[in-house]
Amino acid sequence: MIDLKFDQDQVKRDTDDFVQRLTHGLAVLAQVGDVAIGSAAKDAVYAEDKLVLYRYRAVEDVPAQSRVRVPLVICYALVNRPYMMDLQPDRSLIRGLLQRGVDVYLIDWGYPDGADRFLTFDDYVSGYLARCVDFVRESSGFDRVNLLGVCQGGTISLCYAALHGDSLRNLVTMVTPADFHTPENLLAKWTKHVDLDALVATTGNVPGELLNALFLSLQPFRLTSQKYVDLLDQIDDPKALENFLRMEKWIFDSPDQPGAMFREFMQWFVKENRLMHGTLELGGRAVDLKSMQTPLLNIYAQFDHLVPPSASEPIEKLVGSRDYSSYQFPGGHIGIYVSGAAQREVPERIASWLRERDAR
Amino acid sequence: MADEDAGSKDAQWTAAWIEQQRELLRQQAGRSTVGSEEVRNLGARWLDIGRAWLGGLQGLAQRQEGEALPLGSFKVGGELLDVWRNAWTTLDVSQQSASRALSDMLGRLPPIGIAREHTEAWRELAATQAECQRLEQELRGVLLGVQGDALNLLEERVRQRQASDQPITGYRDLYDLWVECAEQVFAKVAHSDAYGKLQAELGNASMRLRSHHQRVIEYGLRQFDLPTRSELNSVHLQLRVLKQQVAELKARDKSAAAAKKPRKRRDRGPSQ
Repeated sequence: MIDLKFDQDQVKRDTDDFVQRLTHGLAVLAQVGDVAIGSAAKDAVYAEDKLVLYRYRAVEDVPAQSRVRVPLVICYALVNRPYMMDLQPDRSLIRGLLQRGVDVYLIDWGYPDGADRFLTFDDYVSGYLARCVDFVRESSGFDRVNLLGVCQGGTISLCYAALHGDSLRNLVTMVTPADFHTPENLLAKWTKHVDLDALVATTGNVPGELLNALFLSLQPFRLTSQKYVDLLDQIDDPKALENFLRMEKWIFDSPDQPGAMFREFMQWFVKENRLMHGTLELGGRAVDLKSMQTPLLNIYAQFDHLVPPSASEPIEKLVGSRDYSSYQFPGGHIGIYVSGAAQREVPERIASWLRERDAR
Repeated sequence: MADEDAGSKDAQWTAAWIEQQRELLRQQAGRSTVGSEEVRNLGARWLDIGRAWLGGLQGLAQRQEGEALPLGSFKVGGELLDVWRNAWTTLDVSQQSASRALSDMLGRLPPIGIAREHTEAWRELAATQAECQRLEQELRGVLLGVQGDALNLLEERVRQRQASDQPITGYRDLYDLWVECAEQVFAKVAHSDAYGKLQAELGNASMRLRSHHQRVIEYGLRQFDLPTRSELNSVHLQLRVLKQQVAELKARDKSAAAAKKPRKRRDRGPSQ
C-alpha cells in the first residue's frame, strides 16, 4: 500500500478550483450554442446520387503569375466529413490553397444510405471519382488535372492514378495508408478475426457510430475521459472552446460506410494488404502502382496514431513515378489540417510543388 | 410371426401414447378460464401431469427392457427418462435446476411441426444471446484486469515520482498519471492476438444475434404485408446492376463517338 502524502491545503485549493471551473464551464457551455462549420465560398458544380462536387471561389487578389492553372480535385475519405479541409477561417487548408492561387474542387461523398449498400470500392475509384475528374477536365479545358487524396481518399486516389493515370497531371497524397500491416497498426490487428461478410450482411451499411466507438477504443482512457477533463483548462477561452466544439462535431459526424465498399476495403487493404503485395485488382484490372508515372507528393504526419509514417512511407517504393517528393509534418492526423503550423506549412508546400509542375 | 409380435408391441405403445395424450387433453380441457385460483394451482397441475406422463413412460420403458425390439421401433431413451424424472420428481425441491435441465434437453431436440421454423429461429436467437453474454463477460474480465494492472503500475510510478524530485502534488496530477498508466497497460493488452480475437468473437456473435433478431422481425413484418430490409436489398441490388449496365452503355457510346473525332490535345489548358 502506498502512502501518498498530499499537502492538505494544496488538495483543498485544487478541489475548490476544479469545482469552480466545472460549474463555470457548464454555464459557459450552455451559452455557446451551435458552432459554424466551413468558411470559404463555394458552388456545387456537379452532383450524382449522394455525391456533390464543389468548386471554391477563387481569391481575387492573387497575382496571375502566382496562380496554379491546372485545377486541383480533393478526394477526401469516406469515413468522416470533408469540411475538415475548411473547418473555419483560420483553420483551413482550402483557404490556404486558394490564397496561393490554386483552383480547388472538393468531392463531398454525402451520407450513404440503404440504397448505397451495394456500392463497391471500384464504384468509387472508376465510377464517382473518375466522373468528377472527367467533369473538371471538361469544364476547365485541361486534359489532365491535379488530384489530392486525403487519408482513405489518398488510397482511393492511388488506385485511380494507377488505373486512370492519363487523366492526371500530378498526385498529392496526405496521411495516406498504403501498408496496413505495420506493427503499430492496432486496427489491422483487431480486424484480423472479424467476420466482415457477417458484419456487412447484418448491418448493411456499417454505421458511422460503430466506427467512432472503434476509434475511441484505441485510446479509451484518454479519448473518453482525460480529453474532457482537460477541456476545463480552456473553459475561459471562448475561441478555444469553440474550436473544441467544432472538432467534436467533426469527429462524431461520421457517415455510414457503404457495406460492399467497406467490406472490400477492409478485406483487400486492411486484412490482405494487397496494395503492398501488388495483388489488388479492381473491375478486372490489376492496380499496378509500378506503372504509375504521375508525379507524386506524399505528405504524412510524424505523430499520426491512425496512419503512422510507416504506413505512408512505402508509397515511394510502390509507385513507378520518377518525380516523387515527400514531406513529413511534425504533428498528428488532425493537427496536419488544423494546427497553426499546418496553416503556414502545408498549403505552401502543396501550392509551390504544384506551381513548379504547372507549366511543364 | 415375428412381424406380428413387433406390430403388436408397436400398436400397444402407440395406443398407450395416444391414451396418455388424451388424458393430458382432458386435464387441460377441464380447466376453466384462468382465474386466480387456477393460476395458483397451475404449477401443481403441471407437476401432476408430468408425474403421470413420466409414470407412463417409465412403465413402457420397463416393459421394453430385455425385449428384442424390431428394427425401426421406438425406444424411450434413458436420457429422456432421466431428465423427466429429475424434472418432475425434484420440482418441489429444486424447481430452478430441474427447469434448467429440462430447458437444456428441450433445447437440443430438433424442432418439428407447424411451428418448426419459429422454434428454430427463437432457439438460435436465445443461444446466440447466451453466447454474447458469455463473451461480454469475458471481455469485461479482461478490461477489469487492465484497470487492476493500471493501478499497480500507477502505484509503482507514484513511488518512483516520490523517490525523485517530482512527487505527485495533487489529485489532477494523480489522475493524469493514472490515465497514462491505464493507456500503457491497455495498449499492451490491445495489441495481443488474444484480445483481438476475443473482441472479434464478441463482434461476430453480436452480428449473429442481430441477424437472428432481423429474421424474427422480418417474419412479423411479412404478416402485415410490410416491406422488409431483405426486400429492399433485393430491389437495391437490381437497381445497382441496371445502373451499371446503363453506365457501360454510355461509356461505350462515348468512346465510339470519341473514336470518330480527331483527338485534340489540350494539356496546356483552354485557349487564351
